[in-house]
Formats: sequence, structure tokens, C-alpha cells
Amino acid sequence: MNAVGATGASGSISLGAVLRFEWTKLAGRRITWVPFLVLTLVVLIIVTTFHHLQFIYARSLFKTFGFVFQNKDEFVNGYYMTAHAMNPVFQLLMPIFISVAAGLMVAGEAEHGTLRACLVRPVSRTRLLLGKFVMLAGYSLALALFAIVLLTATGVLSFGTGNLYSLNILFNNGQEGASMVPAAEVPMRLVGAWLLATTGLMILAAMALLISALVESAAMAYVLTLSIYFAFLTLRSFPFLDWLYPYLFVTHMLRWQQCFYSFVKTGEIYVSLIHLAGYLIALLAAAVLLFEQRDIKN
Amino acid sequence: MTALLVAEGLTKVFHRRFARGGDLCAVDDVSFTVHRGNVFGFLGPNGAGKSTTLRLILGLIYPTAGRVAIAGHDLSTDRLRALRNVGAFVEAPSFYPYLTGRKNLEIFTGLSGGVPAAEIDRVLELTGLKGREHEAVQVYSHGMKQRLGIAACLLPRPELLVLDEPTDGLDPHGIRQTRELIVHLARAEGLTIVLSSHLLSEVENLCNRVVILDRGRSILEGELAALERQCRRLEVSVDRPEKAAALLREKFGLAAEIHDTAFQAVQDHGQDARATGLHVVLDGTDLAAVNTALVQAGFAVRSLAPEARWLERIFLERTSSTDPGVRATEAQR
Ligand SMILES: Nc1ncnc2c1ncn2[C@@H]1O[C@H](COP(=O)(O)OP(=O)(O)O)[C@@H](O)[C@H]1O
Ligand SMILES: [Mg+2]
Repeated sequence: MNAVGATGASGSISLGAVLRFEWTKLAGRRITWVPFLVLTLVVLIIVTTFHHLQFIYARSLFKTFGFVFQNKDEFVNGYYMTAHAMNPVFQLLMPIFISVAAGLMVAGEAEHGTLRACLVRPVSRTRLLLGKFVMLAGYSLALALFAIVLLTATGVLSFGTGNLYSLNILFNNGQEGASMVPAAEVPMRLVGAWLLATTGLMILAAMALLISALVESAAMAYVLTLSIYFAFLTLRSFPFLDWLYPYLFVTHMLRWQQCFYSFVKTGEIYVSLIHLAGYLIALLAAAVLLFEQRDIKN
Repeated sequence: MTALLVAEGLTKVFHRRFARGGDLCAVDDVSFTVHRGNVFGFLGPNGAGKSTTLRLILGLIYPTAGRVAIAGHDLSTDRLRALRNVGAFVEAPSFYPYLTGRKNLEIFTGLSGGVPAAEIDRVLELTGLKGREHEAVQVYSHGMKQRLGIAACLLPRPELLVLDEPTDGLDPHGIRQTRELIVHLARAEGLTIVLSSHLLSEVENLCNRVVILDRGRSILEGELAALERQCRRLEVSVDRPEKAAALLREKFGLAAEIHDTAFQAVQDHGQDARATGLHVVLDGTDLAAVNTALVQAGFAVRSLAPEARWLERIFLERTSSTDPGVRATEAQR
């Protein structure tokens, strides 16, 4: 390796050099690769289950909304599997993976003393933290892409394609009824859902990093982050609190679920995107400001 | 000699909301100047505030009051430029255990703008890690980690080296090697070095200037040679000590103190166990002249030697044990 990353006019090294630094650390840690393994196992379990289930209960639910199916082959296909598997993957697994990665990035490094080893070098704290955010965002993006590609590929290979029928209540979006998306439209809907879901995860990444930048241990960071996330998710499961939904960040994080409606409400999606952008800026600004002022005591 | 590091009125209060003792002033109005070419030592018992002071001068924590400037750059307004020519570790060097020693050096130096591979080789050679550099840091011994810590501080070549208890936890070989390395870096490579230690011999052997810290306060600061002249006593074992003291006062203007710590030494030599001695600070007076004067005046001088562990005496006299258990037993006496 020859003289990496020249120092800029500000005296600090470039964001690119910080990213290379973060990448080396991320890639070298075994725990970074565990989520990919977990996702693979989860997808394998889902495929196996889909092979064996008869979907009798789902069929009776569809019937109450006017979709009558004689057997599961009429509605269970690769798209159905992908869309429905996105729920646990993006609501449960991804937040856990991201919280852990974020917790290790700042609080974990503080705990192990490597944060102070970084900060006695002429690198701006803001740039270091933003570098970590970009790396975390990239990591989330890669995980999300991996999950959705693996799900779609195994789903389509095992069960073929077809129209996507879905029960709205499964997506917990406060809407009754069932939806149908024509087969030709599904790939675009999946891409849209992936993009929106990943954008939502960025908020969680920013929040996790903010918390990570403030506490002294990785465990504290991810316990706090996940507690906040799941507390808000729980609020969303009480129907009598539906007036509160638009003000909860998790509502906007889960807006991707609407991509599987019969008709996409673009207006609501734009509102969510604006909210997500607002949360992102606020969380990152808070993280940077507080991290600049924090005493590195470990 | 120009000043490289200036600290003025450094104060750090830790707000401890839930602790019984309340807020803690870990560093209290400490000022010092490190000139280029100095080996500057912070000496103090555990918990005296050495690491906290080093954290303050590296910008890891923010002072409650006071300022720090390195090479003319104020740390609070120009941190990046101030730290550009500094290599440091505080508490203990830390690394990513799952990466190799060399990879660790590469990524940390990357944060300072990077260094050529040959430079990394040179420093690995210097710290005796050549050959082990491709092993993960988690298999390194404590001594190797400590040396890797110093290696990291030397890349890219700094002007100021800040080392917090560099020999902490090392075996006697490790301590000696590390001290030799520090001497080499100061003499041959001309680095300015700030180090902390709770080991007196270390500071005495390595440093030319010291600050003794106790409970956050600087209780003694200066050139080691000057401190030695002011504080190091001559221990004289002599008959009729009162008369001898009078003679020294008359002839050299020296204030001699009658003491019986010479007692033990005399006993060890199998001589009159009741003989007492004098303690006298020479402050520049020629030792041989004192000896001649006493002998010519007919005193029986049994021994006459500069105090061996003068720094330890000052340290013990003026600093407190921070261990509450020890303090309690002291109070009972
Ligand atoms: N983060 C912190 N919060 C509260 N007190 C602290 C903190 N860090 C250090 N201290 C206290 O400050 C004092 C000085 O500690 P330190 O600088 O580590 O001492 P030394 O390095 O000389 O052994 C100690 O009493 C220690 O308990
Ligand atoms: Mg210490």
C-alpha cells in the first residue's frame, strides 16, 4: 500500500479515505457476514414452509374479501412469497442487523478504545461519523438487496410467477381488504418496495448511529435502539391509536408495504419520503453535533 | 529551545451525577510547557490525573477551563493542525484484534494521510515486530501490543510523541527494551516526548523535565537536574551530629537536619548502633569540600553519600495514596 488518502485543505483526510478505513474494519469483522448467513437460512426455511403449507386459513380470508381460490397454486407463487416474506425481514431482521452494526461502529469502538486511537489522529470527528454513516447505509443497502434478490430468485424458481394477491391486514397498514397486482406489474412494485424499504432503513441507521455516538458500550447502543424501534412498532399495532400513526417514524419506514396495494397511493408515498428525509437530516445533524462535543472517556 | 506544547490552567471537572462523592476535579489548574527536544514526564500515583491530562492535550476530552496549544495551533480552534505532528496513545494502545498488526498500522496511518510501505517496514524493524506483522493482533502478547502501539505513534513521523505509561504491565526485559527505544527516539531521532508513569525510576532515567501530579494538582514542576539540586540530600553519618551541623551552617551556610535514618546503614556495617546522622541539601556545594571540612574539624565521618532514592522520598512525602483503604490506616497512626 502506498501513501493512501492525501490530506485536504481542511487538514483532515478525505471522506474517501475514511470510507476505505471503515470498509477494512467492517469487512474484516466476522459478525459483519453473519446477517447474510441468517438471511440465507431464513429464506430456505420460508421456501420449505411454503412447499408444505396448504394455506387453508389464508384461502378462507381471501374468500371473505371476494377472491375465491380452490387450491394454493392459484395464488401462492414466487411473488406472493417474496412480498409476504419482506414483512418479517424488513420489520424484524434488518433493524436488528443494522442496530448491531451501528452499535459496534461507534460505541463498540469507544468501548474497545479504538475510537480514541482514531481521534488522536488529525481526522475531523464530523467526517469520521459521516464516513461511518455512509458505510452503514451501504451495508444496509447491500443486506436489503441480498435479501430481496435471494427471496425473489428462490421464490420464482420454486413457485413460478403470477398475479400477486395479498391480504392488506397482513401488512398491518390499517386497511381492510385484499389486493391484486397483475403479474406484469409485480417486478416494478418489488423494486419500488425495496427502494422504499431501504430508504426507511436509513432512518433506523441514522438513529442507531446517533445512539451509538452517545453511549459507552455497543450492547447499550443496540438495546436502546431496538427498544425505541420496537416500542414505536408496538404503538402501531393498536387500532385505536390510528390517529397517531402519521406521526410515528415507523409508519413512514413501513410505507413500502403500500407498494403491494391494488392501486399505489403515490401521494402518501411522497409524504412519507418527505418525512423520511426530515428525520434523516435531523438525526444526522444531532449525531454530528453531539459527537463533536462528546468527551471520549474510554 | 522553543515551546512545542503549551498548557495553561488546564482544569477538568467530571460531573458524576450518581456517584457518592459528587463532581470530581480530575485535573486542577495544571500548567506546563514542553520544549522541543525535551523528554517530559508526568509522575503521579494511580488516579492522580495523568491520563486525564493527556486526554486533554490530545483533544479527546474538553477542558472545563484552560487552553492547550501544540506547535502554535490552539487545540480548541485548530485541532486538526495541532494534531498533525503528534503520535500518541492514552491509557493503553488499542487495535482491531481481528486485523493483522500491519493492517492495523496501515489503516490508522491512513487516518493521518497515509505513509509509504517502506516507512511501515522501518518502524516494524525498529520496534522489533518484523516477522510477526502478518499475524492478527489478538494473538500478540501484551508486550508486542505495547510495541505496536509505539510503532503506530511513529507513523507518520511525528514531532511530538505522547505515551501514557508506556511500560505498564511489561516484564523486566520489555521495560528495558521500551526504555531503550524511548531513549533512542529522543536522542537519535530528536523527537520530543511526553510520557506518564507512576514509576519513579522510569521518570528519573528517561526524563529531563517532570511534573508531579497529585489528586489533579501539580505539586512540583521543573528540570529534573534542578529539582535534584534543590531536593536531593547528602546523608552523613557522623559522631556529634549537633556540632557537625553547626560547623556546616557556619562554614557553608547549609541547613543540616539531624536524623537517624543513618542508623540503619550504620547498623548494617556492624558499627555503633547509636550513631546518628545528618541530612543536608548541598544545593551546589561541593561534596568533597564538606567531607574535608568535617574530617579536618576532627569529626569521625563514617559515611557520606548522596541520597539514593530522593525522588521516591519526595513522591511519598508530597503525594497521597489514592486508595481509600490505605489513606484510612495512615490517618489512624
Ligand atoms: N470518565 C470519567 N468519569 C469520572 N471520573 C473519571 C473519569 N476518568 C477519570 N476519572 C477520575 O479522574 C481521576 C484521574 O484519573 P486518571 O487521569 O485516569 O489517573 P491516572 O492516569 O493518573 O492514573 C481518577 O480519580 C478517576 O477516577
Ligand atoms: Mg492512567
